[in-house]
Amino acid sequence: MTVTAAAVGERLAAIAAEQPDAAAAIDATGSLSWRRLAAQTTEVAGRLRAALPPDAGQPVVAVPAATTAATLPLLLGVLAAGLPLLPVDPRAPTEERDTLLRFVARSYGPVHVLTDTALSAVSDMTPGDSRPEVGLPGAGRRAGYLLTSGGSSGLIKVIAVPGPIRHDPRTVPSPLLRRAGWQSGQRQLICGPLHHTAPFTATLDGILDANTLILLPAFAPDLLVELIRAESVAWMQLTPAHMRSVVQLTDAVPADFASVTGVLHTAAACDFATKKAWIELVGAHRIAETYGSTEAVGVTFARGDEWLARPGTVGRGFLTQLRILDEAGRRLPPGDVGTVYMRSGRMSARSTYLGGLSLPTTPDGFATVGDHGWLDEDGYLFLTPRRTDLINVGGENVYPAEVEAVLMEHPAVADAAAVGGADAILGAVVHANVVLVGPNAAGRPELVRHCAARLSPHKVPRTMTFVASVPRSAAGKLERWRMTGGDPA
Amino acid sequence: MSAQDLTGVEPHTPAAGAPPPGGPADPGGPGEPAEPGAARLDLVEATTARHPDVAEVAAVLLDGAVTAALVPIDFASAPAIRDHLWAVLGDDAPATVALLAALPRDAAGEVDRAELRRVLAEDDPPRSTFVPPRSGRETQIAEVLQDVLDLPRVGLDDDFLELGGDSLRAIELVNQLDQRLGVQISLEDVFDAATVRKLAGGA
Repeated sequence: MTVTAAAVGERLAAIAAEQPDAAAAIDATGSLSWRRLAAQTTEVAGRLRAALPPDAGQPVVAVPAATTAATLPLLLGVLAAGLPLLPVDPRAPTEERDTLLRFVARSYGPVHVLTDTALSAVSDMTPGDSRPEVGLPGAGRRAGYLLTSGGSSGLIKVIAVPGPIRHDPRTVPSPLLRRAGWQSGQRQLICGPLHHTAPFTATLDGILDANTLILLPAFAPDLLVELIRAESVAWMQLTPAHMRSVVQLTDAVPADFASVTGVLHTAAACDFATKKAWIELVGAHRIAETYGSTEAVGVTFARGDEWLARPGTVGRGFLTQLRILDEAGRRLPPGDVGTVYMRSGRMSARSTYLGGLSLPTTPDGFATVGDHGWLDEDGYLFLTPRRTDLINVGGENVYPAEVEAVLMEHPAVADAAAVGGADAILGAVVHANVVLVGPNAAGRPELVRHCAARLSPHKVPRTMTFVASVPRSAAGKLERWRMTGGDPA
Repeated sequence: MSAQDLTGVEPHTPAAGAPPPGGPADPGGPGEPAEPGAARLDLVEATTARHPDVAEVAAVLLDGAVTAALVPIDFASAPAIRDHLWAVLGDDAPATVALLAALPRDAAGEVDRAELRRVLAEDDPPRSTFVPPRSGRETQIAEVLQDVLDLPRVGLDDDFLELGGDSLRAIELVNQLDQRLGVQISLEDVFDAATVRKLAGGA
């Protein structure tokens, strides 16, 4: 689709023509000007077009997406070439990444991996001729980009966001970002992994809106505060884990945040002490939170002043309608806890799962990702504790089943159950209850090494208890809700 | 409810234990001569079934008007299908389109129309009936919605999202309501008060 190439490429060229020497991105290695970003993006797109001629179809191009300036021309080059982009975790062990790429190759077609030095086909992972394009957004419409979400054993979720990606001043920045204090051309801090939805879309929107991106490759709370002051950061998106560590591990004062016009935080529910501390630091009108999903079912939004009036809320629906439904699908009145359903601009393209996964949806188009909560009389949403088949480690979803499957691959492990354990900074970490095949069959360090070789760092159990058995129902189903998160008590 | 008019489309014998449709369990009502007959219900069903979002459909009489109760393939917009039928069938279109997760069926696998009427009357499934705007103000707001959404008509209770609204059109609606009628609402209000009735009431 040459239209796409024109859209992303033209936008970069236009910004570069306007402010060639201004910084598009700044990281620890220095600054990348708009002129160089535009030129490098064009170069990458050209390389891709030469290596992947039109008769090769439109393979997915995976980019290990470190949060650095050097990654930007790779990501943008794929989009400029009109190819579906798949940002992947640069820290993921080879085994985990290969599982993901094989899954995408099975459901979507050939995958190539692009690094700054090479483009390599994942050829041995590509199956034969009969490759149904499952769940693609609209017949014949290619994805702009693909994002992965969680993934329990054998069940990786891939979201295809319809392409082509183009800069439309009516939608970039989105109304939600505007409401959160975003201003075009601002200095924007990026401090999350770029293969995650929120940091990736914030980066893409930031570039298309001519922002200067200040990239923090690895999170450190004191470095974050220092960068905000030194680089006069105006806008940033954070997770509650980031926010907690700044409050607990630094001596930040409001003066450090004088340049800040907007903070948007996402992912996990934020604890009250952290939220109040940040409202003190930046001001209630300059911090907001949003609750939503990769699946683009809908979002809520609450500014700090709304949160102070209703502590604990994740906000009202933002361009989104909310319903709380009971098990039978009946609508519940305010105050009653049920499953949270949302509906937004559903007649336009909703992001689509690969692999035929779909969310529970009502006949009139409300869908749920499975969270529970209740609405107050004014329509503000309050979430109740997360379901037990998902652990939120500092904003990253971990499926216990995936951790359990890896543990049970170890010959010394007879049974295992992963649950969320409390953590002051991350909110939760993975705790494993392990049943060994015999006394002293294996030690904790050995099992942790076993997991670390096969799982991303946030999925590796932080604590481990050896137990005689884990609770299972008569049918053999694990009853995680019966277990605590390894509290020493 | 005059179920005796429906005998033509309910030839099957209901399963033992289930009340016969239109039988003694149904309070029924006096026959109303103007009520639509089986042929019209068949026409509504056949036309609705051809809509790409529709998996299955049954049309029944409810309070003397035709309701098309349909099960969408994934999900559907009740007002969009209602107005599609209105465009195709004109006066023969159903007054109401209701959305169900499944049609009630008897032991023989036939649609249980008595149970369907009960579900429609008591369980309050999502549904859409065209209600014309009443006051001048409601008419003005409906006209703005028609223009923004490019639709031939917008009823009093039609939901902005179900009519095909999205964030871009919401922004345009906010601007047009302000420019043309001096009505000032926020973007959130468009989704909260998503109907002409609520927009007119709150403005």
